Formats: sequence, structure tokens, C-alpha cells
Amino acid sequence: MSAALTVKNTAADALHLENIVKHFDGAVALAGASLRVRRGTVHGLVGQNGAGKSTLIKLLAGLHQPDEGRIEIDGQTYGKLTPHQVEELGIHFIHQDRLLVPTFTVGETLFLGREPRIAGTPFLDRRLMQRRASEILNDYFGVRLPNSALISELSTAEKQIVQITRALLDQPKVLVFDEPTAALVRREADILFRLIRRLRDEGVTIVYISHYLNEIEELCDHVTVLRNGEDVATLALGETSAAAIARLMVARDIEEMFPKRSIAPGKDILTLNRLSSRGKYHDISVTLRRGEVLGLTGLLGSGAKDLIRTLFGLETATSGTIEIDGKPVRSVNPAQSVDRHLALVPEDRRANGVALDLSVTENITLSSLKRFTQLGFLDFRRERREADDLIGRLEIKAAGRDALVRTLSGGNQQKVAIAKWLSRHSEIYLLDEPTVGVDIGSKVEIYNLIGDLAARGAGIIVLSSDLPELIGITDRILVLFRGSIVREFVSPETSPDEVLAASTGSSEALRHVG
Amino acid sequence: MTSINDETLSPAPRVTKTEGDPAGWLGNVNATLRSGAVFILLAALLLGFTAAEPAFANLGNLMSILQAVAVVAILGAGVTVTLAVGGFDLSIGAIAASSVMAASYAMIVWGLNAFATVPLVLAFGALIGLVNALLIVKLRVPDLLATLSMMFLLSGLQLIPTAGRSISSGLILPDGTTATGAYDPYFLLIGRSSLFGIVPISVVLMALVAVTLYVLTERTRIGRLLFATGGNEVATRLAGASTTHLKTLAYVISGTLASLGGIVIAARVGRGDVSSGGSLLMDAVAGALIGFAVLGKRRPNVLGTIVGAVFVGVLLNGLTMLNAPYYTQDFVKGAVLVGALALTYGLGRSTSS
Repeated sequence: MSAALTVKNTAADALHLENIVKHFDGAVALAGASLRVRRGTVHGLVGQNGAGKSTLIKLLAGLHQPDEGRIEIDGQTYGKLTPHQVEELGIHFIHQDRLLVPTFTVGETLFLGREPRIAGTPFLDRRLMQRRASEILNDYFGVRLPNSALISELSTAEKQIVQITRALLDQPKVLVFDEPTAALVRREADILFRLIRRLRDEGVTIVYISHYLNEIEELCDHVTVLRNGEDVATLALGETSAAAIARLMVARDIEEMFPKRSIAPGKDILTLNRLSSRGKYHDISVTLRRGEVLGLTGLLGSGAKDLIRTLFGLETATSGTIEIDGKPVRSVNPAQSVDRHLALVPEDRRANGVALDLSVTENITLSSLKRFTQLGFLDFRRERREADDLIGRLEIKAAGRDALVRTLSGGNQQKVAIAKWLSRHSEIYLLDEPTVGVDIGSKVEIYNLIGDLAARGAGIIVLSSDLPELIGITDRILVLFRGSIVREFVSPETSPDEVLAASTGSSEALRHVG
Repeated sequence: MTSINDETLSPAPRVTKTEGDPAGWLGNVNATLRSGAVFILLAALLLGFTAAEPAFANLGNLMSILQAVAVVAILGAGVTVTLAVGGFDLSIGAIAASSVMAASYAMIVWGLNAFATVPLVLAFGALIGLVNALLIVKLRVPDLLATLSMMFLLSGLQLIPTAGRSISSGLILPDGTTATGAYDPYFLLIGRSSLFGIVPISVVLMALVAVTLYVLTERTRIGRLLFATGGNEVATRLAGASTTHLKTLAYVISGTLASLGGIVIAARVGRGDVSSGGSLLMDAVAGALIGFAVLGKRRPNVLGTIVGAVFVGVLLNGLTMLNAPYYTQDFVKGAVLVGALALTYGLGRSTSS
């Protein structure tokens, strides 16, 4: 099955899942996938959504049983695994933060189900708990988290630290990280990477699942690529590149990934004159033209997010002006912005972009409902036609226009979030991290959609921390650092390194500023 | 500003269906059974009770069932609207009860007639709803806590003007004087007369409320935005709708309907009892929750709420006719609610995932 298997040692395998087949309700989730992880290495697992990554991991966690194939752990074969058994074997899973109970304290979370008692009594040994927790927290993370802190008070990164610490308290043999950096800023991710390398050096085997190929490239010793429920390759990272991995994932060329078209820019559509907001950003002057895709990037706290929020009327600037089509405007709420044909596709799509328990149709017409209303009454026939039309044009894959958005994949949910604004005939699109958590196939479709919008005369601002993406789909890129525009790049003439250096405020990069 | 002509965006093949129904027609039968379950059970109940006790099917008895559920159905419709925006109004029972007191006080102590009393009491309900909305929308008090405190406040407030006494003609006021007013006969018509001698006015009111709110929630833009607010408040606000206005509207509707329910009770009993409306909240909420299962909607809907309330009414009336003791009533209601929720969440799940 594997095209370029470079892991060959048999006795040294920590995990060996072989020719796993799994069906759900007749649909094939895994069609003979194998995963072989050598002890003491960091092993990446990549694939588009639906490639079978999560099914494979759930099988390993004992949450599902394979229909065919076998699972070997430390040379021992298991026909059937239970979650309890998996934990006994020293295999731990670090998921995104939603598995923690927000009302528990750090101490309760860390020792849940295995609380140390004061010898001979039924009472919890709180001092021992605090000591063991602090040892690991201090040693591995250099942070102090009191056991009495509530989970709900912690940042995403701290919640993850708690999860990892909980696993480390058990002296794990294998740690499985499932999309651990999705909600982390770069600096936090760097801390995580250092930790992972250290654990590997201490002999822990790491399985690392991520959409971010640059992370895989940076961190992993080997990577297994899944596609359509099979492992298409297992490669050593020294011998491959992110581009090659991406090709294997989609079986398509990377040049097709960023289908940037050249569009002659039209008239100015949005102009910012010395826009400032105290403590957030200052003296921002930008002109966006019709047909132009403008990239915006900056670290957390750079002011980029605040700028987008101001443009959409969610915050107000303290000085400076905003002009749309040459006319000064001042929006103080989203309703006004929507009426001025602005569109915001927010970062956290499940929380802010779509209503998961409403249908695809209801989501698509949410902002354009007035068009389908007469005297306050809805015209269902025209509304359905609009929904069918956009579902077709954007290739939204759903069981139908009445399907709940919850049942759609991340990429299709995002298309619904964008379709809402197409239906509103919006002209200025503010896209905040538009492809986070979206599989590569859908990413390309979203990039195409952005190109289509530009070609039709819309002005588009893309805020993204995925720099290759930003360079690939925009015409120019503005870099914000501590509230100011520190660099402007012409997209085809720059590189991710250069943009990153500018956004981290490296003096080397800033030297060029006039 | 000219609009982008997005009709010319790259056309794409229609992809609307990605998975067939593996169970085929059997799955469709299942879905039909599930969405029609409450109606099928209702029909079975009607047939069963008629067979056991032919008097059950009298027009008079059927109307008395509807009359018995009218208040609960009216309150339930209000609950449905607050559920739609993702909120919850625990104060409706207390609003109804204090509306009974307010109506009685207005007529007996102030000597107002029906035409002044009804608008006054409805305005009282709307005002309470507005205060609820203010607490929830402006001060960001969680809905359950805000309306729970309002329930407390109203249960106490209704006792103050009369120093804890029930209100009937000849009431002795806290200052020692005797109230001179009386219930306006026109007001009593609301609870005691029937249209064409057949349909009680309270049932007519229930039907009006049902139709109006059904149209509002299911057929208008505002109704869609109410559900959207409940579905995802942030996304709805970002789409340009004012979710604060929508939530305020929901609580005002809920408060107004609760006071309408209070008016119907007052007109039926003809006095202001300090302890009226005890089980109204639970019954109305139960009706709304049973309504989730009606037509397989799996979300709050006005039609379902009315059917849910009627269902409970039919069951209680029939059991009473068959001499089931009164103290089994709450148990029966609870069992129906558990069954309906199991139907909504347990069995309905296969359709969505």
C-alpha cells in the first residue's frame, strides 16, 4: 500500500495498524489503511477531511472497532481495544479544548479518576496533587498554574497544557496530538513544538495530526498521507517537502492550489484615511480598488483584527475617516455595514459565521431576507430558488437545501457563510482566516470563489496568518505590527519568510520602511 | 452603489444530494410515523376514549377540553417565541397570576370597566416582558435567572396592594375602607360566554393567538430572524439584524400573552385569588416541549405547542371521564412530556446525523 515506506524496523514499532477496513452505514471510511509508527519518533498523519484520519485515530483510541485488519501495540496484537485498555497501554490523546469541563478546577481535571488519597484515609491528598502538578508544569512548560484555577478561566493554550500535563502524569508511551495548533498563536505553537521534541528525545512516541503542512515539515520525522481511506505514502521528512505532501493529499499539482487570476483593478471602493483607534492601531491609510484582493496579516495584538472589526462597524475608530465609493461613512453597527454592501466572514465559523441548527437555505438568505419578503411575509418559492442557485454555483455539498448546516463539512459550512453575502450582493468582502480548518480541496474552491468575486468587481480584504495562502491569492499584502502598517508587499514578488519577518517586527525587515 | 451582478459567477453543476437514503421507502415510512406520531396518538386517544365512554365525543365535552387548555396554549405560544430566540421565560405563570390580580383590582378597587381593564392588563404584561428583556439584553443577566427573579418579584408584588387578601366585591382595603367596584359583566363574557353558543370565547382567543403567532413565526421575516437569533446570535447580528430588538420583541410577546391568559382566568373565576395560576408555567412549558415532536420539527413551533397542549387536555379529560383520580394528573403530564422528548431527541436523531 505504501509508495515509499522508509520505516522498516519491525521490533521497534510502537504502533502498527495494518490494512484497517472500516465501514459506517455502508459508507467506506477506511479501505485498508496502514499506519506504522516507530518508537521515539514524531510521526505526522495528514489527509483531507474525509480521508480517514479521525476514524483511524478513533479506532486506535478504542472508540470504534475495525471491520478488518489488525492493531499491534508494542509488538502485541489486539483484535479489540477498549478506551480503558488503551490508557493502560500508555496511549494518550490530546484533543482540542472541548473535552475539558469548564467548571472543574485544574487539579480536579488533572487527577480526575485517579486522585491520590492520604494513606489510610478516604481524603484527597491535595498537597501531593499540587506538588506533582507543579513539577510537571514547571519542568515542561515553565508555567505556574494553581490547581485551584478554573478551566473556564484558562486560555486555549493553557487548557492544552492541562491536557498534556494530565497525560504526562501517567508517564505515557504514545501521545496523539489531534490538530493541536488550530487555536494557538504562533508563539504558543512554538512552545508546543519544543515540548514535543523534548518528549520525543525522552523516548515518547508522538503521532501528530495537522492540516498545517509547514508544521509537519518542521516537526515530524515521518509522515503518513491518507487519501480516500487508504495510506498513499509514508515518507521521511528529510526526503520530501510540504508541496510534495500536499500533492499526495489531493493528487493534484500545487500550482493549482492558488489559482490567482490577474484582474485589472477598477475604481477605488474603500479608502481609509489615517484611521486610528487608541491602543489598537494608528494612522492606517489604505485604498482598496474594485477587483483587488488585499492581504492583511499581523500577529495577535497587531491591530489587524480590530481594523477589520472597525470596518464592519463592530468597533469605532477614535480618529480618521472611512470612505466607500468616495463617500465618507461611519458605521456604528453591523446592520449599517451590511446596508453599505460590506460583508464579514468571521474567523470562528461555527461560533460566529453560521447557525448550525438552521438549514442551508435559512443560512444563505439570512442577510438578504428582505429580498424574499413582501409586506413582511416570506416568499418561500423565490427563497428556495436562490438557495438552490447558490448551492449549485458554489458547489456546496449538502444532503439538500433543507439539511442543517451542522451536518456539512467545515469547507461547505464556510461556503454557506460566504454564500450568505453573495445573496446580499455585497461588494466589499472582509474575510477573516477564511480557510482555517478547511480541507485542501475546499480551500481551492474558496480561492476560486474569491477570484470570481474580484473578477466581478468586488473589493476583497483577506486577513490570514497562513502566509503561503496569503501570497498565493492576494495582489498585495499589508503587514501590521503593533498597530501600524510596517510593510507593504507586492504578493508575487515576496516570500513567506519575508512577510513573517516583517510581521514579527524583525529589524532586518523593517529597515526597508521608508 | 451598483450591485455586483453575481448571476454571471462561474456556473457549476448542481450538487444537492450526496447520499441516498439507505433504508429507502422504509426510512420514509419511519420519518412519516415519527413526524405524525403525536397526531396518530391523538387520534388513537380520541377513538379509544369514545369507545370507552361515548359521552366523551360530545361537542360540549370537546369544547370543554379546548376551554380547559386555552390558557395553557396561549401561554405556551409565548414560551415558544422565547424558546425560538434561544431564551426562556420562567415568569409567565407569575405574570398570568398577577394579571388576574391586576384585572380584579382595576375593576373592583378602581371601578374601571372591561374596555379600560383589558388594555391596562395587557400593557402590564408587555411592560413586565420589557423589563425581562432589559435585564437579559442590556444587563446581560442570564435568561433563566432574570425571569426566575421576575417570577419571585411578581408573586410578592401581587400581594402588596391588598395586603395579601384575595380580591372580590366588597373587598376591605388595607386602609379600612371597602372597595365599591365590581366585575364588569362584559369582562366576564370573555371567560363565560360562547360564540354562537358553541365555541367558548377563550377558545376563540386561543385560535386567534395560534394563527397570529403561527404566521408571525413561520411565514414572516421577523419570525425567521427570531429563529436565527436562537440558532446563532452572533451570526445573525453580523448578518445585519438587530438581535437585541428581536429578543426584546420575544419577551414582550411572551409577557403580553401571559397577561392575556391571566385575563381569561379572571373572567372565568370572577375574582382575584392570590394562589391562582400555580401549575401554568409547567403546563405551558410542557406544551411547548411536546410541540418539538409535532411534525418532526425538532424545534419550538407554535402549531406544535397548541397540539401539545390539546393532547395533554384530551388525555386528562378522557382519564377523568374514566374515573382516574385527579392526583394522577401531574404524573400523566410528566409521562407525556418524557415520551415526547424521547421522540424528539432519541428517535429523531437518525434523520440528522
